[in-house]
Amino acid sequence: MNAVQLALVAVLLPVAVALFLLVAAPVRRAGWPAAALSLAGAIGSLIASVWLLWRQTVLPEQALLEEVRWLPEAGSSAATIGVLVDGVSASMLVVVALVATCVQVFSVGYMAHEPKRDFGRYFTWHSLFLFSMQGLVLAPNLLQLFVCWELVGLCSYLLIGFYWQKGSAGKAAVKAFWVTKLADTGLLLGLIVQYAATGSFGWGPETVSTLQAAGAALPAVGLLYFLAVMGKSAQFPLHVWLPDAMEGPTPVSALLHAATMVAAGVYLIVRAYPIFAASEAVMTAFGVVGGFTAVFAACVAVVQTDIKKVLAYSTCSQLGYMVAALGTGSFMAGYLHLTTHAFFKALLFLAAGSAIHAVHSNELKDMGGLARRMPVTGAAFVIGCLALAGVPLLSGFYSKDMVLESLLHAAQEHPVFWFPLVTCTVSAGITAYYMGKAAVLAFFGRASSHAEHAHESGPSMALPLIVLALPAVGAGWMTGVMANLWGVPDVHFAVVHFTPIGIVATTLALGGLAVAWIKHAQGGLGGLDAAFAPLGALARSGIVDRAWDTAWRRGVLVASAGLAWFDRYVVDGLMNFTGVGFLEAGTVVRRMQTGRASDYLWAISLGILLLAVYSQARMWVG
Amino acid sequence: MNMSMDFPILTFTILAPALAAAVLLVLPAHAKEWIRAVALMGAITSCLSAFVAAFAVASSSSALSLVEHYDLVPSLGIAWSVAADGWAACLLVLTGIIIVAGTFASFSVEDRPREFFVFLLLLVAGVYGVFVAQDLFVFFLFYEIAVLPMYLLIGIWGSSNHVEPSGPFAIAFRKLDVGGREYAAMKLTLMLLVGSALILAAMFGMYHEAGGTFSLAAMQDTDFSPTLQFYAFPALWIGFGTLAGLFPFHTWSPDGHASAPTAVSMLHAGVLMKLGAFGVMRIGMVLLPEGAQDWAFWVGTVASLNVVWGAVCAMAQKDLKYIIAYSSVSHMGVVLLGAATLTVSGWNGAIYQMVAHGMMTGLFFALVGIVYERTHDRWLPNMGGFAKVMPMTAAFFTLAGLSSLGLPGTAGFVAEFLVFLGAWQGATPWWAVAGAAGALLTAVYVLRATRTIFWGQGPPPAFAHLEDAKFFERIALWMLGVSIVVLGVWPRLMLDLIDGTTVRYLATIVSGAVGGAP
Repeated sequence: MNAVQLALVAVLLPVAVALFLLVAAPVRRAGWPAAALSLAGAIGSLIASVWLLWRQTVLPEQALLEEVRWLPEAGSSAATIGVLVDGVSASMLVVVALVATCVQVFSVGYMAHEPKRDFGRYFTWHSLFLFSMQGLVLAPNLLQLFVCWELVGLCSYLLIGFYWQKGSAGKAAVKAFWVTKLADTGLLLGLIVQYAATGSFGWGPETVSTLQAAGAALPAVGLLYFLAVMGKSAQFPLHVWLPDAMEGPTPVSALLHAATMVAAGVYLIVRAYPIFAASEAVMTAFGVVGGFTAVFAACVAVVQTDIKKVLAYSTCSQLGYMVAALGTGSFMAGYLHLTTHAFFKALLFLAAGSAIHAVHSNELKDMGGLARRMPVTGAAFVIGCLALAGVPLLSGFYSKDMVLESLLHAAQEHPVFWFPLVTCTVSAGITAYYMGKAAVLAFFGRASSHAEHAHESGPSMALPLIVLALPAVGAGWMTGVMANLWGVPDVHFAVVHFTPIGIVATTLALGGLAVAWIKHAQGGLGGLDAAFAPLGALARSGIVDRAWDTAWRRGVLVASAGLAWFDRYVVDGLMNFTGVGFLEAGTVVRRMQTGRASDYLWAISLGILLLAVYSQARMWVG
Repeated sequence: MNMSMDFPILTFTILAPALAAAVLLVLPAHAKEWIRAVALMGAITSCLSAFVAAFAVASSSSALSLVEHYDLVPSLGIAWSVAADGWAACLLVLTGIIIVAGTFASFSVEDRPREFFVFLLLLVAGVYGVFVAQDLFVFFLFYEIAVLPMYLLIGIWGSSNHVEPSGPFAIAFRKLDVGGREYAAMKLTLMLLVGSALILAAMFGMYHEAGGTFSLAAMQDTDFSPTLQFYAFPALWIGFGTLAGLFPFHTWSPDGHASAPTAVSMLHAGVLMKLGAFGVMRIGMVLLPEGAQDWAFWVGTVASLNVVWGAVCAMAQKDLKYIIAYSSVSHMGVVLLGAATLTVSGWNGAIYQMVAHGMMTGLFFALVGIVYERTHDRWLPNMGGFAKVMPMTAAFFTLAGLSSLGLPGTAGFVAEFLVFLGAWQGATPWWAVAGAAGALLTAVYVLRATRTIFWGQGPPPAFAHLEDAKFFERIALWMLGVSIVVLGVWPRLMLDLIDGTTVRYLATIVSGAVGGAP
């Protein structure tokens, strides 16, 4: 098969499954057949993706584009859909397909106790998601990317709201949709502005130079797109939906809200990089917003008590790293961190899911000592934790190191990048601390009463952990291969290397882990609680959430109620008033129709008299 | 396809429902099953015939296909002249689908079904007629045939609610039974008739200047004087616009749609409101190009207001039908917004939005009808957890909602995207921002309503035994749902057809607008 056919298999196989399951209700409601079909689709997509990646690694120069016109010629001639196969999309295809397959296998065990029809529905949405995400990855232009962008948002909504009977899940699903839709309006408007200025939805050099020539259009388009990125990739202050999204089943959190869908925002930047890189204002915004999100979310993660919330804020924080790195112009650093993060964060979430499944609680205090009872899960979580903390030789180390190094370079040229440099370096320590704390509380120490009888839940949940642990450990060693694949020149990569900033970050990370161990496993460092007290207060106050909530209640709801009242009682009131006016006038005038001949005779006489007077008057005047 | 030569397919499309209505009149009133069967036959025949006509138009290369012409009153320049262009072809198909779905959804009408279907079919005959009429007099005649049965359909088969008097005009609310079905029917009819009067005045002015003919083709070749264009265009805009829910003459719509029975709401919001927008474009803008340009700024600005106003009002509603009705006001604003851009994208989007909105709002009203028929309640706070007992209804409601908030993959996205694209290419880019804001607000109220009705702890005890959609209702739901998705995934099915016609019409208005992209 040629590359385009492979790409089409990777993207269309899941949608065929999804459509079949949507229409063939009996199959879907039977549960297990739906899961089998969905898995077959995911594995097929994975095989095609890996095959494609192999071809692309051998022939990295070759980019293939196949597209068809989607909208009519006149007025929207550039609106095409298709597939763009190059190193960037090929590697992301594999990441998405691999994580999706692992998550689906894991779900077979995790969701086994759901009623059959819900089980089928769950896998239908998974197939739909895989299609949407692969379509996004392969998008040859921003229009298709936007289409798939909204579809993954839809899947997110459907999967967060999977337990729709639960009030909080429903609210979280709707909130996620609203916040991301608000942000997506930026992408929609950006597309329109870009098309009006350039006649293209692409990111090619011609498009960029035309945009550049159009003056304000370039930063405007870039910032509008960035708004959408902030929503999807949970950047401050639009991150508020992501922690709530943890209402969804844990495997969903692993796939959508950690590894792939939330990374779509970063992928958008990577994909359309020429447009962003051409505008300094946009790049600075990346640095500032990403840097702030990295440290803000890390601080909030420290005081979370729910293991999924810890991971959710950690995702926000790491996405901040990626955005900040892309702001420096280092495409490689941002994209590499996206790739490694996908593996170790999916691993962490699945391990957390396995623990949650065993103890029936998300709270860290209900866990404890799980490593002895669940060795595979424990090992997986610890590997993920160390990779995320940036311990040398694990995947997270290489990408984080590259991010920090790119920030250091940028800071030397643009002083504003000192800000993300400092925040991201500090966050490296904080990250290590909160992850160490979560690992210690959940997997080491004394078991809580919930955790006493915990045990592994069978191969379907253990196998994905083992598979995902491999890239979580080793993906970083492939940095050179990936640089070659993505067409990034002069990346000098060695598995063992030292840089000054790397040494600082590693020291901080090891320190963070040590502090976590001493404090939570040994009960030392009591003074630390006092130091974290203000942080805890800040996190618990949920100040950003409250600000949004106030704007919603005091602003939007009040305004809409006021306007609706105005529409009913003033606009429509005026219509009714006019109607009543005619009715009343009619009742008045009606009295003249008395029906008595004598009245009419009087009126006729009066008329004749008036006419006579009028004609005489005219004669005199004339 | 040479069918146009042999068989008067358009006349047949118009007459099929009218004939079915005539047959219904001679059936005994108690033969409910026969009545339904005949009504369905009429609807399906017209729908199939509309599809055949659309295929014929698609495979023809001329501007107007399926031309039929018989002089009616030659001395006055009136002729039975019908033909279809790309716009008409798509709108015929829309009408066909909606009437079939509407007929299925009306199988539950138990009160005087014979008369109900007679009026419904008569109405739809008028709708078909408007889309294909090539003679302004015939156009207007059909327009009135489509609008007037509404008075009886709402007045007799409708439902009532009550609105508390308040505000500066409370006196008027006390004198009228605001919210009652007779009130709603009367208000709708009166407001639309005032609009008709404006149309009529403009029509006679145009007739006079065109040299005593009502032929649209002749009028298109006429160079109407700037004065006439300047005064006739706003008359047509407001006259037709009232039916399209033009602000501030939209207030008939919430009450009317809320009171109307299911199928009537489906047809009214699904196709009748489109007649208004179609009139503004086909008669107002195409025939009076200078007037259109003079007024385009106001048309678009008011349309932007429509979009946002309707959406914000919908957010505050607690009555399910009012939500959907206000959302129609908002979405019809998108049509008029697209029209006002005077760009290819904008016009394509406007026509596509007519189709898309027709499907989605038809679906919405069908679903609301299903819920209302079982609960006899439209008050949102009383509902909750219905997905447990009516999962299919919940699924289709979500689909309709997604299309209405412009989710890609549904027809609504394509239409809105084209309209916004056109707005930014046109003279007043900021309309696009209003449009996008409208889409965002739609997401707010649609998802909130979906969650309130269908999600949450399973239904209140009073509604614990609601029944999901029945067989015939399911057919209606699937028809509309599949159409929405198909048109969203592969829009060129219809857009290529629309595009050709748009380019031709627009060429007469803005030289150089063809091609759209700079």
